[in-house]
This record gives sequence, structure tokens and C-alpha cells, in this order.
Amino acid sequence: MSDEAIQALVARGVLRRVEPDREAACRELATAKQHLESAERISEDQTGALAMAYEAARKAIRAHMRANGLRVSGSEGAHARTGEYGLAAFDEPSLGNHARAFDDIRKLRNRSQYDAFLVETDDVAYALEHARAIVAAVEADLS
Amino acid sequence: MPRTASPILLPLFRSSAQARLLARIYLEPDKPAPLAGLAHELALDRAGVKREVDRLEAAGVVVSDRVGRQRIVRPNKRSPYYEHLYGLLLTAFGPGTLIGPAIRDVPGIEQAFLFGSWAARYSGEPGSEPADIDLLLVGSPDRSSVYGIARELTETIGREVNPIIVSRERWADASDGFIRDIKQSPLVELVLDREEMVGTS
Repeated sequence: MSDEAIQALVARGVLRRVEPDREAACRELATAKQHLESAERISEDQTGALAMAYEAARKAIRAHMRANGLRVSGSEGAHARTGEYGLAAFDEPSLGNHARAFDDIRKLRNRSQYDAFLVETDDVAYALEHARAIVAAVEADLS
Repeated sequence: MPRTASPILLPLFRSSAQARLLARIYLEPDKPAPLAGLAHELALDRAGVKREVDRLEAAGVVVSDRVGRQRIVRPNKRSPYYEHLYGLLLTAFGPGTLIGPAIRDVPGIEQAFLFGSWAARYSGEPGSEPADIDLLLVGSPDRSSVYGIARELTETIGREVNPIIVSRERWADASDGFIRDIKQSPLVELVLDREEMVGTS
């Protein structure tokens, strides 16, 4: 995790510091894992599966934030800010790829929610691959 | 080359045709640009392209070399305007010129289009400055490859490039509302096999 990058996000007002809450983080991670399982089970509804996979990744990143005493500031653009935290927190080369993919999945999910864009099975596979990796990385970090 | 209106994306150029010509010459300097090929590629009148290139060469903005019977045009990197002009062309017209070559080698892409506000402005429809570039790919390319290239293009062009991918079947499906809306709005089709087009001119 790049402390410098996190500090820069705090200085820019993207994140704010709060008391670390490990218990809340574990609860959030448990929810993320449930979402991931649900996304894996959905086979007919691609848009629903993508939304679930996205929520799994987002909640896992948020769990990581809470464990590290951080929250996104404000509600506007909160999802994009969560992604910015993910990029700063998962800066190792093996994880950076997944953190970058989070933003792709966020935009796809927005298109499917607000523009009536129908996602396809390959989109869901892409989202699931990266959501799984993000959830696993957060779980490894919190254990 | 009949005089076309100034490009809405950056109405500093005397015509859309001139802007597209300069964008092609400046933004793809490694791709040979013979006069005849440029006219064909950009769907412009050959005599008009010659006059425009003569004018730009006289001003020192481009240079040309004779190779056999062909006149090959390239940007004049020694021009004091070069850096500035390159930056202007990249920001305003980079999407239409650079995205096609960047994605054409990704297997599974059958067609590529720009849509949304950038495509609308490029097509001459007035409106606000485009915030990002909407890219639609038809086919079944690998998602990771496409998103990786989109991130690189975002860095190069300086505007966010947002791809979506639809299967050939969905692109042909007239009952899909999202696809129907896109088809009814201004679309800029990207050339994915330019070598062949230039070669056949």
C-alpha cells in the first residue's frame, strides 16, 4: 500500500481519516463475499450478475478502507473515489491490474444501470475475474 | 476540394477537410501519406488535397518528398509551430485518427465506431465540449486487451476513452433500444484496415 498515494488522496479531499474499525471491515467483507457468491450463481441475468460482481469488489475495497481508518469524503462520486483508493492501496503490480479493472467495471455497471446497456457474458466474466481477485486480496490483508 | 465548414471541435482551422488532413499527417507520421492515398482515405477531392498540401508546405507546416511518381507528405518537425499544432490536433482530432490503428490488431473486433458527444461534434452537430470519448466495438475481443488499450489512449489523447463491446448479433438486433439509439445518433466509423485502403488507392 502506498502511504504517499493515500496521503495525497486525503490532501485532495478524496478521502478522510476516521478511527480504524476492523469489526465493521470484516462485516463489510463478509457482505462482499456473499455478493460474489450470488454473482457467480446468476446465469441468466447478465446485468444483475455484473452489478453483483461490482458490488462485491466495491464493498471489499471499502472494507479495506475501514480497516485502515479511511472513508471517502462526501457522497458525490463516492464510487469513483473508492476506485481511487483501490489504485493507491493495491499498488503492487499483481494487484494494480485488478484495481484498474474496478474502474472499467464501474463504468460498465453505470452504463447498464443508466443507459439501458445490456452487458454480455464476457463482460460478466471480466467483472467476476477481477472482483474475485479484489475480494481475495482484501481478505488476505485483513486476516 | 470544396470548402467545408470549420470543424466544431476546434474552429481554428479554415475547414474540416484541412483539419482532418493535418490530423492524418501529424498524428500518424510513421504511416506513408501519398497525396492520392490521403485523398482516398479521407474521401476528399484529389486536386483539393494537392492545393491544401501546397498551401501548408509553403507555410512550412508540412514537407513532402518525391518517391518515384508519388509525393509523400509528412509533418515538418522543424517548424516552430510543430509542437503546438501537434498538441492541438491530438486533443481535438486524436480520437478519430488514433483509436482505429490502436485497436485494429486486437483479434475479434469486427467494426469500431465513435459515438456520443465527440462523434456528434466531429460530425458537425453543435453542443458542449465532449468530456470523454465513447467507443463502441462490434465483435468479441478480449476485454482485458480492449480496456488496457483504452487506458493507454486516455493517457495519449488526454480525454477518457470509454469502450463498450457488443456482439455482432446484438449490433444487428433492431429491437435493442440502446443499440437503436446509438445507430440513430452521429457515428464515426473507424478504419481498421487502413494499409489495405491506402494500398488500393
